Amino acid sequence: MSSKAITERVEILDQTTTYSLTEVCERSGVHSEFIVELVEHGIIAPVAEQPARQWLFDTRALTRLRRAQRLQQDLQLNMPGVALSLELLDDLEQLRRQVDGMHQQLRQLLDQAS
Amino acid sequence: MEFKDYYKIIGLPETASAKDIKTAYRKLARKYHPDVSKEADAEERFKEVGEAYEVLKDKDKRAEYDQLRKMGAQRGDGSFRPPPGWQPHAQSYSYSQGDAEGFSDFFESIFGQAAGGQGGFSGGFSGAGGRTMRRRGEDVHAKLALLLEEAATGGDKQISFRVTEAGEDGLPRQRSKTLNIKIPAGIGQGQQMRLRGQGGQGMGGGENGDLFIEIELAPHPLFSVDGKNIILTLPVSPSEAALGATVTAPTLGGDINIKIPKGSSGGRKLRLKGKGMQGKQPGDLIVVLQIAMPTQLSSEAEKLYQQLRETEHDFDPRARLDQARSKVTS
Repeated sequence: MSSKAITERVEILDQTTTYSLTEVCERSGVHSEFIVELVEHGIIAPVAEQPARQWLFDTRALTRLRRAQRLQQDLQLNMPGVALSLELLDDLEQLRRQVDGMHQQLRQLLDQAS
Repeated sequence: MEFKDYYKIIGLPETASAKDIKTAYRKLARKYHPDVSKEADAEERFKEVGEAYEVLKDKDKRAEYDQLRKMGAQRGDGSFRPPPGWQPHAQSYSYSQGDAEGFSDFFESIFGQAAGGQGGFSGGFSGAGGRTMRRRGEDVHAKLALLLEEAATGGDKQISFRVTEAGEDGLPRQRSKTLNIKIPAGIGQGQQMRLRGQGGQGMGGGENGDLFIEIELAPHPLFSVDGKNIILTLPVSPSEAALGATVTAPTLGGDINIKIPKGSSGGRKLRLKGKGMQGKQPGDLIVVLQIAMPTQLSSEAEKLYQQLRETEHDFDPRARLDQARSKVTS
């Protein structure tokens, strides 16, 4: 089954690629209650406000769900804990990017001053 | 086989209490959790710590391991071979995590092979009665770090990830898989991509899962990225800024000539259409001018600057500051 020599074509996804609640459950191996709980805690959100049966999620939500799942299982976090961790991790990521950008600008300035 | 010193991994002496081991494990699990840690070997360390804890938290396993460790320690070269006649423990173990993550060969040589029962959806794999439920394979989510050049121009790239597949005994196994993929030009930070059917194996005729790839752009020493646009800080000399000039500047697609307009101030932005990230709708290259002074002026240049100062005595570069100040104070 190894396909080392073949180059696979990737499919670019955007906000228009969505997954139903059933599909998300199947893809991630979780129960729908878990997803409802994630939505209730604001960890993920469906693309539009609708009753749960008609919920649609984008790919970002799918990825986030997996992170939430791992954090919950591996670190025995409860839902508020998962929500807080993910928010802090998001903030951290954003700050890291900002710091990287500033470092880059600072380096350019210093290079010129020296 | 390499001997694994679980005490060293967890950072405690072999006299450590069960309570201390638990605390140390929790701390390390948080530190090296692949979703939390930025360290390159986080995933490996996390697994190692999990394996160490799996043994040390259990009184019987720990006693068994302690005994082996004493023998293993005598070998001196760090290698390990189970003593002759050693029988892997018949008792099956269950993973502490829901994830069907394999432990090391070292672990399996002592405590035996995994015996199923990973929780979660393990029932989806062939059960005790040989009956197999039809189930779709799980999706795999991976991250791919790209240099800005790679993202801008696209090209072939190799990606490795772990997938769950059924072994010959029908039990789920983790296997590492490598694929060559074609990255389209102009891919951005956080872009999601999908490879259908490259995720976990479907069971009982179920479809395979998909592989999702999220792009992470590595910081670039020259350029920063703003959506599809690329920003470059370009140093120019005072005379280039004053008189205008054509200078060479780097872009992702190679060096190009840029016309600096006459009388440009520092911070002035020049937009070069279509020279940013490539793709269907290419972004722009935004050049921010920065006026650079030579570190040392020759005496001649200094004289010329003095002349310039006298000629230009009407110019007040801080006029706007004074205006702003008068607004505040009035």
